[in-house]
Amino acid sequence: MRTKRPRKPVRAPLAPGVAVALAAIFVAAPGPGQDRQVVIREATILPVSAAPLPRGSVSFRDGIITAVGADITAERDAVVIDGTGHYVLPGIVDVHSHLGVSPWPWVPGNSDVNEDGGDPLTPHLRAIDAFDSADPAIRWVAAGGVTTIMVLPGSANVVGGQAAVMKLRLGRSAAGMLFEGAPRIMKIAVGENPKLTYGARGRMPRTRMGVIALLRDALSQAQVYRDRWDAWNAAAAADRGPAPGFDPKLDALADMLRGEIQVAAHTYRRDEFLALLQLSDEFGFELGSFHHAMDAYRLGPELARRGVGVAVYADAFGRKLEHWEQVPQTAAYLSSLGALVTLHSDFPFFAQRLHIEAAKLVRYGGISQRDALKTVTLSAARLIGVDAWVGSLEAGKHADIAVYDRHPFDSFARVEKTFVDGELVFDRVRDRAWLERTP
Amino acid sequence: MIALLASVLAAAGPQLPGGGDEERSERVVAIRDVRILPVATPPIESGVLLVRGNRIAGVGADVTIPPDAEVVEGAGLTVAPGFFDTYTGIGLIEVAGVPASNDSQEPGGVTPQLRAADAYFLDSELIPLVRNAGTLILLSVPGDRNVVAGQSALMRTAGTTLGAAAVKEVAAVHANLGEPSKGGGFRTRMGAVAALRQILQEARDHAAREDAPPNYRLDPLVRVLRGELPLVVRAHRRDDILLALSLSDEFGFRLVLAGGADAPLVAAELAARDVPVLVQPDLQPATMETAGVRYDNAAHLARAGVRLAFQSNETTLSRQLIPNAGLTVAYGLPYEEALKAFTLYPAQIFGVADTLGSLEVGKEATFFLTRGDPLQVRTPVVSIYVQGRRYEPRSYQTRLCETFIAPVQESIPCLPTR
Repeated sequence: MRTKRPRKPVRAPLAPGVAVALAAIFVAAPGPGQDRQVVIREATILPVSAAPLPRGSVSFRDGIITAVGADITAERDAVVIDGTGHYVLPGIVDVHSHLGVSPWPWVPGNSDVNEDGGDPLTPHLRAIDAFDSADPAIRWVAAGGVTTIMVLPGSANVVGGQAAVMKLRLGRSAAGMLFEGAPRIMKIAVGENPKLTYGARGRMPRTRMGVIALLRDALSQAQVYRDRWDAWNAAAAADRGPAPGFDPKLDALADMLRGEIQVAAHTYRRDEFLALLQLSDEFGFELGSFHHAMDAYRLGPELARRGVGVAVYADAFGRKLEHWEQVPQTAAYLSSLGALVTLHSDFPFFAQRLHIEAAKLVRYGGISQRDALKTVTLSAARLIGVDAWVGSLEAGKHADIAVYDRHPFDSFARVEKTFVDGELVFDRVRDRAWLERTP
Repeated sequence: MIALLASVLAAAGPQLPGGGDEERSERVVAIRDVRILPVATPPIESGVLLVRGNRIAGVGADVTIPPDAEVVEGAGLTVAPGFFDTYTGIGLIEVAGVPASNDSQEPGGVTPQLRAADAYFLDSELIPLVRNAGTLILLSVPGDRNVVAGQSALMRTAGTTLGAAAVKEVAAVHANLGEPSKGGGFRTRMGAVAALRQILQEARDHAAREDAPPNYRLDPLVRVLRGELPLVVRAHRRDDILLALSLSDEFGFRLVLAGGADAPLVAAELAARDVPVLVQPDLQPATMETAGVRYDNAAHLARAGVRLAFQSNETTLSRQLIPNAGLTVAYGLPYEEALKAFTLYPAQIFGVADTLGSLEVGKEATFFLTRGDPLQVRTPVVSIYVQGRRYEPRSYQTRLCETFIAPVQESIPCLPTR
């Protein structure tokens, strides 16, 4: 079996010099300076990777956390933020978002999420190419404490295209928001969405058989394509014939078969999990995560053993037959089995409320608050391969931080500040004019 | 047939919840040492809630427990009157994507004759789910794509016959302005509103006729024009809300506003006319007509003196209404007002405050017990009473959990621990 997680990088992806250069572009908003030490003091710290600190501090500089502890000495020119009564936690990570590709307002002219015009196999599409960094929902989600998202193409196509892992660096272009070093991830969708999209037009796939057959057919072609190119690349220049023809679709699938792109699969039912696991064994691609995964509780030990990440809703379900048999204990149960489990949003409202979604795991699943918080921070970061950099409050990690006015599991809690790479992207006081945008 | 049914019902005895004012066995239950949120009066930190049959017989710190009472220990628990969800598709929609189980939306544009009660699915799996979340009364509303959608039903979330479950089989007539109504046979707001105005005029003319024969389309609107039923108008944009107000002036009906993304902009007007608003706490500025919505909408409206009731505008997500309503408190709605927007205010708005909406002697014994603040997402609902009958917080999800999870992992609770 292939290794399931991308290797951890040996160093942070941004050299300090680069970070400073980027910061220079991005200091338009008033807030703590990037080059000065910032210390949030006298707050309850929820580092996720360690036990909560009832009265602690977090410091950062140049976008990187420098210390987390009970007592941190502020430098003479430090920006000190009094966190009395507040809760400080790592920025929330949302592994399933359509921000930017399905921007507000939701009108047809804005929808760039499903390229379902003709071909159910579109592995060459890239979410980044349609990402509207001016989507107003991005700021709204950042105001919910979210700092990293994975943007996925929709689920109308069996192979929808390539995801983009983004940092919510507000005001930057799509390229400027890309999470440097994040792995490449391919969106696959099985079940009702592709079969209803194409079946309604009298085309394949109209059945789950058709969905898997299309995948197997495409992957078989990609194997041949990959072998041809690998042989051509391996041959000495003198022995090479003409290069094989380039096919953008097969090229993306070949990278998947080479293990350079892992798979995030939109799937609900147990039989689909098993079919995809079998395909992964057959073709040797890296099955990174099952998204939505309503039936994951029916296959808990197997999913834990195979190391496939599972992304679910806390208690949302039921629009379609395939997501009817939900139970709100799923995430807590999988977590107790040691599986990699996260909560995801799919929609801006859930994204902004992932802390409340996590609180539901405590209520329904009886797991600890720390384990529940982990599902929307460190585990989520791991599922999309960026846990070396984000997902917990630890020295050396990115200064992606959310500050709440109450415990994040309190129904009445609000985010006060959100930092991305040490930059204050949301501040409830500073951004009052935006919050009260109605004339 | 009727006799047979009656004998079956009689044989079933206490298995079936009683309906309306029907007298049932006079079982007496006393929940003691419980924190009580009566809503109409201040909280009681530790008291007794006494139930006789399907009615509340005592509420207070010094209620004497009769010797024949079944005593329930309420220490550590809080009791609140059943919450309302004032706009749902529950009963009409089961699996939205499966047409066979979706009875929400008729074509036609103007369909006042539709009655949610006629299609209400009493055995919906969604009913126990919202009941377990504390929603004990819901308004089941026909789909919103018709400018006149039909008649909603105010239902308890328990009961195996329509008579037993219904608080009001017809609670309101519903009209929809703005974006969805343009899908029901009209292309523009002008077209939809012209049709609305036309049928209101027809209803007015019909009401004026002394020899008017029964008319299944116009009669519900005649009841609206006579003030017997409110007209709930779904509207978000300021101009749509103002239009609803001017139609209310023109035709003289009792207006209830649903949605109201821009409602704070006309809050003073709404307060002056006592037009209540059914607020959806999780409404997002995601569509053209909701672009103006803010989380502090509810706070603004309450401050201006507008009566509020919460609505989920959902079906399968309706059980998220309570955690979502936390947002309105986070954004400035006083806690007590939020509690009333779940209970007393909706009971007043739909004319059932004589039996529901607060814990008072003589009112219906429809309430739920929680371990902690009922408005907090982490608080489990441990027990539910509807018309005096107790319900465990079980659902089909409990069965799935017990089948697939409990045998593997004992530590995961399939039911909230009392």
